[in-house]
Amino acid sequence: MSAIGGVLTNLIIVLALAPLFDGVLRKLKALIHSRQGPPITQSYTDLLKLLGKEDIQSGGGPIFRLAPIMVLGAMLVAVLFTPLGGKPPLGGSGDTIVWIYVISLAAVAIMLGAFASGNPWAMEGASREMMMLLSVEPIVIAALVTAGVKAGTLSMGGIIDWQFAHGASMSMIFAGIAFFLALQANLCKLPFDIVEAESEIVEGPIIEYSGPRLALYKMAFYVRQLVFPLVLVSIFIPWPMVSLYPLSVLVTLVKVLVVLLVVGLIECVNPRLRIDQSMNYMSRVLFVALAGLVFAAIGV
Amino acid sequence: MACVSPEQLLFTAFGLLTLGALVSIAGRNWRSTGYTAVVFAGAASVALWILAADAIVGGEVNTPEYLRLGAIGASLTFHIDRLSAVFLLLVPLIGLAALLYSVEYMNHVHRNASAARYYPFALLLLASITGVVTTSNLFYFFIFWELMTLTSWALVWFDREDEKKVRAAWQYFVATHIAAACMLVAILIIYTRSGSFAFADAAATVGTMVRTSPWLAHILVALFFIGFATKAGMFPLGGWLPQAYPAAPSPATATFAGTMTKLGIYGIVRVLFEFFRVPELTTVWGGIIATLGALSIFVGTLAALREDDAKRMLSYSTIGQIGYMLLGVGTGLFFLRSVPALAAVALIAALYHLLSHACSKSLLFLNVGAAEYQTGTRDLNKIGGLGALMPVSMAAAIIAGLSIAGIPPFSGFVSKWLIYQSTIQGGIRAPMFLILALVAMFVSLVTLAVLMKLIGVMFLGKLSTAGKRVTGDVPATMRIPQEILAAVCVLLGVVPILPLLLLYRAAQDVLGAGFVPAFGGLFGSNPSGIALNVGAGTAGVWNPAYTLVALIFCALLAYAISRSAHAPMRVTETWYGGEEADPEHVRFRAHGFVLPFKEAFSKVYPSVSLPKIAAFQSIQKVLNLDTWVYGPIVNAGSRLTGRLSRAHSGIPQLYMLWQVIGIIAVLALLFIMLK
Repeated sequence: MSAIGGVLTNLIIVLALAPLFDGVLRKLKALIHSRQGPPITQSYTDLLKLLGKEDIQSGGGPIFRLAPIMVLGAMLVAVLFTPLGGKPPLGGSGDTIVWIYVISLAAVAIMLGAFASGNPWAMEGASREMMMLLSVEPIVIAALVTAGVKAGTLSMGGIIDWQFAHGASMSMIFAGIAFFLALQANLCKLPFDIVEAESEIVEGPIIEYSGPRLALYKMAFYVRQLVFPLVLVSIFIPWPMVSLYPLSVLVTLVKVLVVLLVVGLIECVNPRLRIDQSMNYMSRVLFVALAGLVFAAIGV
Repeated sequence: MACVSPEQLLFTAFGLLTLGALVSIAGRNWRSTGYTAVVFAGAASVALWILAADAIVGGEVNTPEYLRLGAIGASLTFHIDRLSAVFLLLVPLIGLAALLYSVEYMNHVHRNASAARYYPFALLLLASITGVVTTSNLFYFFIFWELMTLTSWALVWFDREDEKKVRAAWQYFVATHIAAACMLVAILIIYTRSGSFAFADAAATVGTMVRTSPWLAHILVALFFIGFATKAGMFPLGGWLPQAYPAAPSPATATFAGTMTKLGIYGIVRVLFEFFRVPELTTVWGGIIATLGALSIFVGTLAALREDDAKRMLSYSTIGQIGYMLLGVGTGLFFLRSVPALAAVALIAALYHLLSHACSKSLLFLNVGAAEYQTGTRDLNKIGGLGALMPVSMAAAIIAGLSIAGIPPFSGFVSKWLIYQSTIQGGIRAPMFLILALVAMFVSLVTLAVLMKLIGVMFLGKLSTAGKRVTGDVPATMRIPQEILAAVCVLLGVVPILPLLLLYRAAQDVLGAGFVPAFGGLFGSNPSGIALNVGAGTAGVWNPAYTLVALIFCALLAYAISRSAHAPMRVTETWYGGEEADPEHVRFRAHGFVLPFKEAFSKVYPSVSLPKIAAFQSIQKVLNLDTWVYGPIVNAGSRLTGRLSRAHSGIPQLYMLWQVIGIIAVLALLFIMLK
């Protein structure tokens, strides 16, 4: 029963607040650009507008129609495996590896939808999405495996308990730094928004989607923008520890806001990297993550 | 089944398959021969499934001795424990599916060849595989193994017109026979030490051998391992696989991928876990096998990414996935003494991956065969957009592809999750396994890239010119096997508890009943999911049923959001940047998929790209077994047989001269021997 309550709480909080966080980021970008910018509720109105627009289909069959639903569906399931102020609601059904692979399921749905649309730019976008996945996921995997090795278990709840009991350690600091450095690419923000490079491949995998299906994609991206920082702050920076659940949720969201503000700042002052440049950068970040793993193996 | 004894079932199966093979030799018409073969194989499969059910429910099954060759102490005994039962369930399924598929496939694609060159060998292949997994006498094990190699070679050699395919078959022959020779040497060493060929005696012999001459025990393990790893297709012994698999017809390749490579793993598990269970051997060889498995994963999958021929790509991917199974087996061997729970979990993980990979890889080969049936080509740069016309094949390909890539909730995810968990838990105790775990998890993403390339280019997108002549989906007898295998993949993923129970019993039979902790302690008490515990608390959880419910709920929520404003729908043309373009000119070619990544990892297999240090260059040359072991042997064999073939001049008088010389030689030999 409490699991269902936790499921609904996570879903409602994330669905309600994800566009708000995106609005805050757009306001930050505007302030840095010395302009007024949209109100922070602009993302809500954008989504509402898109929901009512014409749904244009260019062929592609059932895969084309199903892909956006699966992308948002998989991201929402990932939300259920993400800790938000406590243990993840479906923590008894999936651990860190499940979380990583459910997010890969969303990426698979993006790629299948892109291939199904039959547009060469979409397929180029799918190819870039795969390469970003290949270069960034090893860092996420290494960081989370480090946490698993320290805690002796891979379940998120167990890792969080271990962090509370044991405090900061060298390997977790390295893993946290690596996860943070990879965060920019995971959220597809500049300088790593290669997948949706507007000026190069015209929105990439989502080029053929419009109206409500485009709204689903945008919602999925907003949700992704919350899920990764949530894991970062819950697993690697769980302090201060608050026992009251609503207060703990509030503290977590404030921490996520701080992380997202840093992400937005980096986004505003950087150009886009080429795919090979970003793969080079990620391989260097992988060394940081592997250093964390080595420290964990020797017990530091 | 008290009325029919196990040996009667087994011999019924053998008899039906052999009879079917004999009947197929007289076959004229592809369709009639095919259906006859399917009927015989179906009856034999039913007998084998009943036998497997007997063994699973009733416990291990032993049969009396047959064909006793007293002079050399070899007798044909069969011992069917639950590990054999797992294979007796899997092999007839894959074999029957491939045979049903081949009825229409061979009729269309190879219509100019004779049916008598295919069906007898396919049926005898199934019979010899049954013999390999059930026998408990090393002599007959080797005989069945050789039969399996010869029948599969006849299938690889099917298309005798093509020069490259004949060369590939020759390479397969040489590679597997070098491996079989290694195995024969090891079997003979055991025989000279113990005086018998029975499995049971071999374990005791090895026990004494480790105390008296441990280096000999290591050599024995190495010989057996080379023999089985070549058959399994592990890097660097698996160089024959990407040559031989594309040369055989697609249903035959599906049978090979689903059954024969797995027999290498069966051999390793049977021999190493039963005969060689001494701590000095298991720790060393566990580490070696796990490392070679990780190497195989890395090299095989990266080489698959390079390919544009669909079947070669899948063959390299098979080399990679065999590496996962070897990683599980190696982890199990390594922790056999120190953490038995972990060893059991690792072994069960490897066997689960075996089941999942057998079903999904053979399904993928059948899908590629379906595309080849329709368009006549396997080149991924030329095929495109077949999904609209072949929806069943596309759905089956997506299920199989996502299963191999290890995406929840399909079968490959359960097995890969178990392998990751066991290697990470092993890594907590022995840090070397952490690197292997990371390699396994990274290459899982590369596998996803390989399968995305295959499925996305072949079935999705715009129809290519090669696909313009496709009118509809493949015939029903080609669709049904794909549907059945896809259903098995989904079942293995969503309801893991039943296969886990079966494999747990199999692990109990292999490792010994008291060795393994209780099932509830290892995998948790929730029947819908797995809560892994290797002795230090909950290591990880995965509940596919709840996750699937959550996924369906979230997908419905997403659908409800998208339809909440009742937006109108309109169909229009694909947008090519405002220009009018012929779809064939702007179609995304398979070669371009993840091209920068490929270039970063270029030239991985068969030659590893390493910095130009002299020592590495020579290691590179050594690892390329094709150039200095298999290649020269194959060339020398061709030259020798070429010279010998000149004796067949066609002049009868010359033949009679050879006969006279031969008779004189034999008489002289007898005279000398009997004197």
